[in-house]
Amino acid sequence: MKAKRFIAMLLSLVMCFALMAGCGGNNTSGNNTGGNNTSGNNTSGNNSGTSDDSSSTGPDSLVVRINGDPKSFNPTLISDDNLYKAAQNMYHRLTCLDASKQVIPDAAESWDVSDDALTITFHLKDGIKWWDGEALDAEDVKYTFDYVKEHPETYFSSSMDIVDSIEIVDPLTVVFHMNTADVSFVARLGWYGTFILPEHVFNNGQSWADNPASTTPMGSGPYKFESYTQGSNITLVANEDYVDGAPKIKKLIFSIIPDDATAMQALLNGEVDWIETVPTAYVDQLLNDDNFRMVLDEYPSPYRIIFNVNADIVSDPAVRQAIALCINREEISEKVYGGIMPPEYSAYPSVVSWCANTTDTYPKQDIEAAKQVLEDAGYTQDENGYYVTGITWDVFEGMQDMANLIIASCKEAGIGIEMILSEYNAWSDKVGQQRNFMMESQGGFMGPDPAALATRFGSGSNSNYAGWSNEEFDRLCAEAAATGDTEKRAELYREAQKLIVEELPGINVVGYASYTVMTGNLKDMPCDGVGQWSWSDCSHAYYE
Amino acid sequence: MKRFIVRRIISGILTVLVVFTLNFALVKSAPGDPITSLMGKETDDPVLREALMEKWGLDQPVPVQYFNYLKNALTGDLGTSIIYNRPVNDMIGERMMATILLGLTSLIIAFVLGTLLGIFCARRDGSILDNTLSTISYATDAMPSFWLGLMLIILFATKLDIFPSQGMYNVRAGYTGLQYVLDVLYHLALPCITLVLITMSGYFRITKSSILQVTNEDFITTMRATGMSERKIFNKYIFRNAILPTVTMLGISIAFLVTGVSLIEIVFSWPGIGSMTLTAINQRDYPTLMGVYLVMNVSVVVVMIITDVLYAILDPRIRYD
Repeated sequence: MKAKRFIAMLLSLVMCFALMAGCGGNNTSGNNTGGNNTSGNNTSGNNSGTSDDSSSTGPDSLVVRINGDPKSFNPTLISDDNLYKAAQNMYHRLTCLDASKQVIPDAAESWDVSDDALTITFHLKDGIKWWDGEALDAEDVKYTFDYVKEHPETYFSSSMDIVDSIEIVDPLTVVFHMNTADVSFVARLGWYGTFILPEHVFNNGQSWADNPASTTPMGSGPYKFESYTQGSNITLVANEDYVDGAPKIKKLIFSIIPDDATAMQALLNGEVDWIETVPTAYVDQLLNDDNFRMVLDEYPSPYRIIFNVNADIVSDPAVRQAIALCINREEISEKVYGGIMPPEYSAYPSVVSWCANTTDTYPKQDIEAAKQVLEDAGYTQDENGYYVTGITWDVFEGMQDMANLIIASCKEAGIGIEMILSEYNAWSDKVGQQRNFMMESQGGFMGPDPAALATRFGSGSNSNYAGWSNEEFDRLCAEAAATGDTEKRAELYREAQKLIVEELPGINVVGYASYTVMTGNLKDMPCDGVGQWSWSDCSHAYYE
Repeated sequence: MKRFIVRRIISGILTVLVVFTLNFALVKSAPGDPITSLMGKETDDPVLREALMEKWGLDQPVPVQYFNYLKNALTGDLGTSIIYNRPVNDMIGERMMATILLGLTSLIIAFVLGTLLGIFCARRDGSILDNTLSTISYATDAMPSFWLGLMLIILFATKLDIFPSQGMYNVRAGYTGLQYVLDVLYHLALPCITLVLITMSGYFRITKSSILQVTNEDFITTMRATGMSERKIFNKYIFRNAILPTVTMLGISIAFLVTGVSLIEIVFSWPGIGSMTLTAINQRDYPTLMGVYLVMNVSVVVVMIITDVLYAILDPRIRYD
């Protein structure tokens, strides 16, 4: 009898905890503007309450995996990978990038660049409205980018240094007057930190960081914000008044799943419909599963080695040349990345074919040639067979397998390299902040325009970790940025890449690629909209 | 007794202060900073960095940052998360119940089951069942919790389709009321089973060995010689003496509730304090980390004081002063 009473008490206790969690479980980040309680709009065909998530799969919801909580709901304040997908469904930018990472129109249906590239005129699409019914117009564009320019704590602020002023011609025409010719600016407007915000909501004297609209968004996109539960999910609902028509899938849920393995199991169980970046270990299984669709997604973000050209030992071009000759890209691609990440021989990612230099490329592996280069430069072998020792290579977690293979090849050529493996923050502090390294490896976007070459290798640029400086390279990049002639730009950037390959401040190893997986009957997903809609726009998607 | 309690409280406060200071020093001395995480991986803009450092007061000398934080913490304000720009009090508050639900439920089940099985096996020491359970307890004790969690997901969620694989509730369905409660309990099952399997072995072994030890004491032999019934000897003398170490272990486990469930929260995407802490460590979110550490620090001290006082009350042999 006592035992029964005890068990009953225990179950009651658990129930009480669950009830308490239930009361606190649906916290949103603030007052909910969406206001639509969709609890009645249950997508499940089974309302038993304890049904498995997979039983709820239906045409009315799309669950997207994200890795963590969003930093805020103001995507123009800071860059935020965890919000980026949701932001592309809630807001507009002037331009955006499609799944192939090419620039396409967004709020601006077209733009004109003057011959001297100092005036860029954007023509806004008519009919775009904020969720509260106000029109998105040139005032909003001017307000957003004026604020960004004036506030250095916003992500895009420094990029606005080349903009002198923004002029409103009429409600649908806005002109950016530039002080420096840089046609890549249009592409950069389609990336991080450039979403147009509603002036009538934000312009109230508060800073963006303190404005409630940064936690409870007011957007203009195809999906409206409904709720956010910390650590759990962001839920958006279809904007029935959207300018291009209401999205077919009525509920877009971003489910926060930090662990990759768990996310994959959630996909297999039907709890998640779309995952970007499938871990290599799952690729074969999913490619052979008819329930899922796999799409290879290539980015202009090569994994690369950067040499600190001012550091001991690697300041010698012969050493850099010898190391370049030791890299077996095919072996790395196959053994480390399962053949998914392709070997990269061009200095600018070959996936951007219009400007990648595929003629003047990094050398293929040739250990004997590497030894010869060192001998020609006056190095001699010590008793252990090394020409050079004492090189250190700073690597963050995730890059160590690639580094290990290259180090083993270098050892064959008599080059001694020691790997220093760190967690990302420690690596960033030592390499990014202190610039205290000889060699380092990094990834990172080299788009949305080849102008990123100047950012990564231009004299004085903060992202030029190599500390390399070449006047001819700087001149070529400046000239390319100032012309709208694509052919001429491509030619100039190809010349610039040739200089990188010759002097080797950095060496690309593999191109970045990963599989995106989605439920097999999902059509018109973001990856299907090349040239038409943005990289993460789910408003066209539907279940077949 | 009153003097003892006052002394314990004062030493508890001092402990909290010392640990708070040590935490601050440790968090600040870790390489990297929250601004790097805030800026993201695609920019090295020094102007942006400087502006954000200034905004969050990280450009001030470390002692100034320490005393500012201490001053606020004393008033109950744990500051604002640098990464999420939200009050840490709110962030902890929103997630605390999820951690308590998972941590405390599994702890109670593990304690009850582990203790019962420990008593059961102690009374049948050397039997096949005892040997089997002891072997299993070593095996589960040796398993990494995150690995066991993933294995259970693959088995019970993916292969057998009995439980959901992750999350605290069905995000598609948007249940409310009783349906929501049942849904939470349904999602609680797998992480709870994982934690019970991992922690139960400790209670099982400590109970069993403690009972065996007391059973072999001279006073028990004497009681048996007096002809007292085995049932009475066990219930009145063996069990009450043997349960003390188990209760101590329970106290410690309650104090370390948050840290104990961190990895399980990550594996099961359970939106609790543990997963928030691990994320804050990766992002070097100083205020969030300090806030969570302070809450953990205070809870450990409070539970320890309660345990000490209970000991003094329950066991007349213990007199601290």
